[in-house]
Amino acid sequence: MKTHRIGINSATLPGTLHEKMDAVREAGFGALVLSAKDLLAHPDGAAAAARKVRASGVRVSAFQFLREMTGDSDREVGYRIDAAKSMIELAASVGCRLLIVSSSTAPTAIADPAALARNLAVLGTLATPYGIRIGYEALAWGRWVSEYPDAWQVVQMANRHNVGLVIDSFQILMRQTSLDLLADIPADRIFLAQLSDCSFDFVTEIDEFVEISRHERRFPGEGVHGRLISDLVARLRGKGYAGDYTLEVFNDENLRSALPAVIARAQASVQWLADKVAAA
Amino acid sequence: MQDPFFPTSDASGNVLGMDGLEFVEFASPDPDALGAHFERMGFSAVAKHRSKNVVLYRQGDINFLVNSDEESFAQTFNRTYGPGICAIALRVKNVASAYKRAQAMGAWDVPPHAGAMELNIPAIIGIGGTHVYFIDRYGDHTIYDVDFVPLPQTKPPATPMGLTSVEHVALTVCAGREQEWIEFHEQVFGFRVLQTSASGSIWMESPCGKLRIVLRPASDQVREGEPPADPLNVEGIACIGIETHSLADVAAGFGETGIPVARGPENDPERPGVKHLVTAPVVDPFYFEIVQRTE
Repeated sequence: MKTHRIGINSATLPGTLHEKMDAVREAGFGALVLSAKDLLAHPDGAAAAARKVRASGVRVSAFQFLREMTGDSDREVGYRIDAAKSMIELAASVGCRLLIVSSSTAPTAIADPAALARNLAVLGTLATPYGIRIGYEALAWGRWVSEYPDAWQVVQMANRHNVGLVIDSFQILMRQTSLDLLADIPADRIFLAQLSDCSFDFVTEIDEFVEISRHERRFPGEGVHGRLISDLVARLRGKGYAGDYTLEVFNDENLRSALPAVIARAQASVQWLADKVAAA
Repeated sequence: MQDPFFPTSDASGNVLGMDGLEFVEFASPDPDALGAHFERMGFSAVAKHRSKNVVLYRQGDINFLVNSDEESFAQTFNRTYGPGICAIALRVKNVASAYKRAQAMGAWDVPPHAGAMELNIPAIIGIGGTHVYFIDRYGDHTIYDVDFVPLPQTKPPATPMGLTSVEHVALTVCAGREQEWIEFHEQVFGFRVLQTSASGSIWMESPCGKLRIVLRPASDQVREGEPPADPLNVEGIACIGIETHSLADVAAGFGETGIPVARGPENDPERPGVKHLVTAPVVDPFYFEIVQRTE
């Protein structure tokens, strides 16, 4: 488990985009995951921000957040396609080749996996000219698709070369989804593995999923689900997964801390992972 | 090539109402040299755009547009990616429905920029930043009737060489991206894979049966540890394949007018039942493949 195989999500770190890029590069992390906000909220504008990202030499391994389409009215579909186009253009502007699409949490979310798959295929087509892939992620509080096996079913039905799966340890531990189902998924259909932990053994209320997910995640090794995370990484490695790993730790406390301190904990987390994987 | 299980009809996959190819648009910094090259291949300059610096060259059912208008997409394409084939136009039964359907399937639309009294020709983004126009005015009433004026014929027209129609369009794709472009053309246009050659070229046919595309992986290999090249800079339309009824006559005619031939005439190593020749570029990077079906 080498640091350069592991990226870190921008929203995990405090500071400006520039400070984050410098810190990530100096700490030896392989990549950064950016959100649209990182570019759009930049004081010099999105285009200038994108130029700085490219000039920094930091690889952007994934881009977020795009929610899947809900409803099927022309207005809704048109709006979602426009949103997807903006995200694809932003991702392309930083040389990123993976756009994460998360399952819908809206009451109007589409329940029919075949319809969800058709919409993913449309996103796959939209992303093709730019050489961008679509990674579909089940959010634990998704209205219909809330676990990775559900997301995998939709990805399979989409049946597109550039549409694959994003695996996230946090979503798995929230739902206590079995890792055994990973065995059915070919390694090259998994486009990204996101890692984070949490301090609670069980969370029962969906509202709390959201709260903890956005504000109280922990670095792998800092929470109580270390065994699940190391098991997940071991299984992914065992099946030949060659994609990126990302530390995705949304935590308010981290955002109030000094950047070097958070980076140091991220490095410690990578070391913890490396030790676990070596011992496995 | 008709598939007995999936006959090509409107009911089985011609989602856009495609009906062949209308024109090919070339972006060149030296339009005169390219025009002279076309004339040596038997094309004649027949018309000029009303308001833009665009000339129409024609032979048989083939329309080549050379666009040197500074404000045009072609010259923007030229400045961004270098000289190349920047657009093709597809004949469709109904532009409005084809355009809407293509976008609903995930195609990017191109913002329109027609001049006054000109047709608005909708386009979507194809491979390598090229445009794919949709046209439903063809046959008796054409777009050229509206947007073009005939050129005064001050010199005798070029002698046609028996080039009849555009048979295929060859696309360069990044190695490893073949499947993505297969799926793109399946989903947006309803193209179907005909065959994959031993050399890795993938031949697809339009649902109307009148046009083929061939996907050929780029030869540049990605080096370990280096970021992959931006596909927009690598991919694109490589060349146009033109059909003739007599490849021998074309080869003789090219010999007389000084069109250099890089390969052939020979049996096409990729497609049984097809003879072909490939020209060498005179105006870089443009070259052509001339094909004759022998079965």
